[in-house]
Amino acid sequence: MTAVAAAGHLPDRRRRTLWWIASALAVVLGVVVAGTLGADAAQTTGLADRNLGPSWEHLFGTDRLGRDMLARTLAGLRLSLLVGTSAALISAAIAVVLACAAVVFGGVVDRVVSWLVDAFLALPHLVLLILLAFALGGGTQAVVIAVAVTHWPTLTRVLRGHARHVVTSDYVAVARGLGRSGWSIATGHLARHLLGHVVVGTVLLFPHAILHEAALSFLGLGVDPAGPSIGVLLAESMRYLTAGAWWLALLPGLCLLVVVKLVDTIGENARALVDPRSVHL
Amino acid sequence: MLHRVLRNAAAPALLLQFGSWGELFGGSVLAEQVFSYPGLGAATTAAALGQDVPLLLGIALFTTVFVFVGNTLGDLVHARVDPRVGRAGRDDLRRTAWRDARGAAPAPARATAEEAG
Repeated sequence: MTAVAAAGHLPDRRRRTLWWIASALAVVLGVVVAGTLGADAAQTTGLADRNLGPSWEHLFGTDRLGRDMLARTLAGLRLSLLVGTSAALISAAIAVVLACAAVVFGGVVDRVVSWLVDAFLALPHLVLLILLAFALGGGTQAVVIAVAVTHWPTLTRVLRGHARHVVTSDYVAVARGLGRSGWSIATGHLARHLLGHVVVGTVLLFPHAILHEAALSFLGLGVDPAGPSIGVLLAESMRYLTAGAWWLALLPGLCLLVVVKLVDTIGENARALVDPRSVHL
Repeated sequence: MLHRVLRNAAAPALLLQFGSWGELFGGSVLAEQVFSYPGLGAATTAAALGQDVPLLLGIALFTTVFVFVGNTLGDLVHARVDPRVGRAGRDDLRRTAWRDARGAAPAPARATAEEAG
């Protein structure tokens, strides 16, 4: 197979997948860095330059207070990415712990975890998100916790399925027969097998987390309205859309779409690497 | 081909679609905020921003009922479209009924065996 790949001038599929992941990751990290660098410009108001359209000086135009929209969009994307990342990581941690506990200890623990997953999936997740953000009082921390708590059930289900498959294998039966405790089986055998799926599941959680954070900020329940989150930018733009200021909504929205699509690309390609059968179907 | 593909693919697809019935409320929250429609989604947002706890809890309860109804409808439709799923439930019932009646069945069989032997 390597001979065939070397004969053609295109790199083989595996290498192409790795390149896709690397470039998408580079762009996302670039956005975060640019957002950090442009934080000052995002807050500098210039009341003489209010509501200007896109121009060479202000590539994305200016908003109602004269702030440069490009800097605001990048700062907003950085905030959204940070919140999405932390929420996805917390969610993945909860999912791994619960899935491993349910499978290794079995019995009552398994039933309790399944019941919890069903209970959390009983509510539509945006309604649950609003309930939690409201109960926690709003603000960035509340958004992170609320998004983390709404997204662990689906990942737990997937991980539990994979973990059950591992636990029914021979080497785990041997380990149990040798008297190893549940904890050592979980860390030794399960962790190695689930690591790939956990990474993929976490990366695929990012788009949901980012979009839900934007939705919460759009509704006014999320991060502080003074901070430039993409949701806050979109909410502010709604008032001026009918006045013809299309760049206030379209350009941040497009950037959000592109970043979410990039993170999704990373996740899908990582999944193709970990579980090749899902690609060929 | 449409006949074969559609018939086999329809059952799980319908099950999944009905399972997402509850998500209608999630989507309506954002859409009603953008277009200012006076619906349940706008009521949810207003309740959250206006600290109206009973209304929030009531909407949560109502949407949970919707999710449950959606899932149940999906199961029923799935059983209707895919005959194998529906038959499994009925077969179980028939099997237990047959097992209960087996207590009575061997006695006449033994009687006929004694008659024959």
